[in-house]
Amino acid sequence: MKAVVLEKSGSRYTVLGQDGTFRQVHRRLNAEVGEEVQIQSWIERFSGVRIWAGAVALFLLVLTTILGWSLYQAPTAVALLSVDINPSLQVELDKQGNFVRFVTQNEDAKRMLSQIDLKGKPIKEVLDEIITQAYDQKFLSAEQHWVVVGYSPLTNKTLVQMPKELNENQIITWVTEIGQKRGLTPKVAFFFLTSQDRGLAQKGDLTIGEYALWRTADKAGVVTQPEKLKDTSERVRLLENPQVQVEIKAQQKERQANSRSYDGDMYQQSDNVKDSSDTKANAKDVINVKASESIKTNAKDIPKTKGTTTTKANTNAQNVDKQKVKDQELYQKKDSTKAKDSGGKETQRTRYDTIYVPTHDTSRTYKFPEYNRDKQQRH
Amino acid sequence: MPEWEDKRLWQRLKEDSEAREDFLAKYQTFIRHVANKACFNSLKWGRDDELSEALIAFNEAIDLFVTDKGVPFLAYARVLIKRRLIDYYRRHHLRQAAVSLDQEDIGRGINISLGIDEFREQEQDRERAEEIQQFSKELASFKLTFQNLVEVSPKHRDSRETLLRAAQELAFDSELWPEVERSGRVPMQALAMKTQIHPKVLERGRKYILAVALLIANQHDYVYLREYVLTQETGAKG
Repeated sequence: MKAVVLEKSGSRYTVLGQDGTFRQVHRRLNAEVGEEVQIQSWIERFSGVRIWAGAVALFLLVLTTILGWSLYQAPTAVALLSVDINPSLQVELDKQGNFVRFVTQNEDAKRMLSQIDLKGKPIKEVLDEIITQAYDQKFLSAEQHWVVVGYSPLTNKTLVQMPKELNENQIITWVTEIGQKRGLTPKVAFFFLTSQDRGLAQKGDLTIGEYALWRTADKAGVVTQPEKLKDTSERVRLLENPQVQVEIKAQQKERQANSRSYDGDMYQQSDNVKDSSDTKANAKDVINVKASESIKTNAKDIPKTKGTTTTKANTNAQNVDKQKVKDQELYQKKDSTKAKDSGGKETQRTRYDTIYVPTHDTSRTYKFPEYNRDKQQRH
Repeated sequence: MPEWEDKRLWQRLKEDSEAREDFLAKYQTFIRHVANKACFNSLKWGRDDELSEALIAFNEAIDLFVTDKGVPFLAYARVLIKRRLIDYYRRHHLRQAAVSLDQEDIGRGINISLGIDEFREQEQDRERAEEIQQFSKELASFKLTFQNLVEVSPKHRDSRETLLRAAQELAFDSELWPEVERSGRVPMQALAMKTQIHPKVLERGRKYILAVALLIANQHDYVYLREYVLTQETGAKG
């Protein structure tokens, strides 16, 4: 728009525009009073190229904001992984299999990993760190070579979302390789839990590995209290129990039968129990356990499942009964000894005994006690 | 469209002597106004030779004017009249004191037959600057400055058009404008009655209306500036 310069004042001109407006504009050219200059009204200013440039700038701004926001967003956890050596811990993994955060850690795990930042690291490095630290701090040795690994998706869809290499065999192989680097041949018990089972484990303040082992032992007819699974020696005793191993094999067969209906490789497993001396394969020292997804997840259904599996193990019924009696006697002795040691105070275990009612012949309900995990002393 | 931009009319003026006579008669007021300003005197037709010189210059301007040069005819004619009068004074050594704004031009050796091509931007800028200077003085007599006008200038197109219309009505009204010149005030009630615009709107735009009306009413003084505030229709009217 044309305008005539009426007045010059500092860095501004006072002009009379062609539309009859008096306005002030910035001095760009050295125009004198009386000269005609071209000025831009706001409509002209934002027309043509400027509109397009503005639109592009706005688009880029929105795009950058969206990208920035999505990058800024904390990674979403899609799976839970537990490692019980002792130390015991549970970590959340994102859909790339990277560490998100610790869900639970016992005192030993906290001490062991207090100086280590695992955030964003892939699961292999996380396992490497845990196993290495456990070895360095004598938690893992030739005498104590069991590593219980629990794995559970946080939603039903996450099995598909998880990378293919993040499956049971891969995790077992990694743990074995890491141990072998330290001159160990760790035995890995791998448990897979559905999200519903994971809820029960959390309710009982157990890691998913501990819960799965307890349930497997229970199905095998080896009576034990859930909270005892926090004790490393108890876990080892169960893992090396022949009845438990029989049950593991039975479950493995059932799981394999179910897994055939799945397309994915996630469920293609080798034999779940292998002797460490009979094969060179990485997973040779593994007791590989998966709780079948078909297993009823409600705690009320546990007795029914137990009844079924007990029937499967009828061939060893007499041995199982004897073992139960021995276990009960053994734990009663231990409890009485601990009660004496603690000066007559009620221990955690004795308190649990008042809640837990191990009746195996009829329908039972297991009630998990309220339990502060951090206060639990590891043995 | 101002009549000097109408090519057909202009062609007729150059060819038809009767039409030219009518045109000269119509612009006698303008010729006298310019001559008065140049001579600092009130001249009379039939008495003062300066007016004859001015009329001759205006007639020459008709011959030399080219429509598509983007120059207002009256601006061009005004320059020619001023130069002709300066030359007249030089030749007759008359009324030295009356040598006007163009006194500085005397030293340059004025060519009174200034062609339209020679009437370049620089000349126009100088003419505009003179108009602006005069406009500024007139505004000051109403206690207005350009800065005031920037502040009150309507930003919205509808408001601006409303106020411009009011200013034109005021400037062309034979009763209202003389009252403004006499009293120095805008008769708001009468203007509201005439324009049917709400008095509050007029009051808000009072300074703007007055400034624009000054440009429109003094058509012989603000040949350039009034083009910025006149619509094409009213331009033809003025």
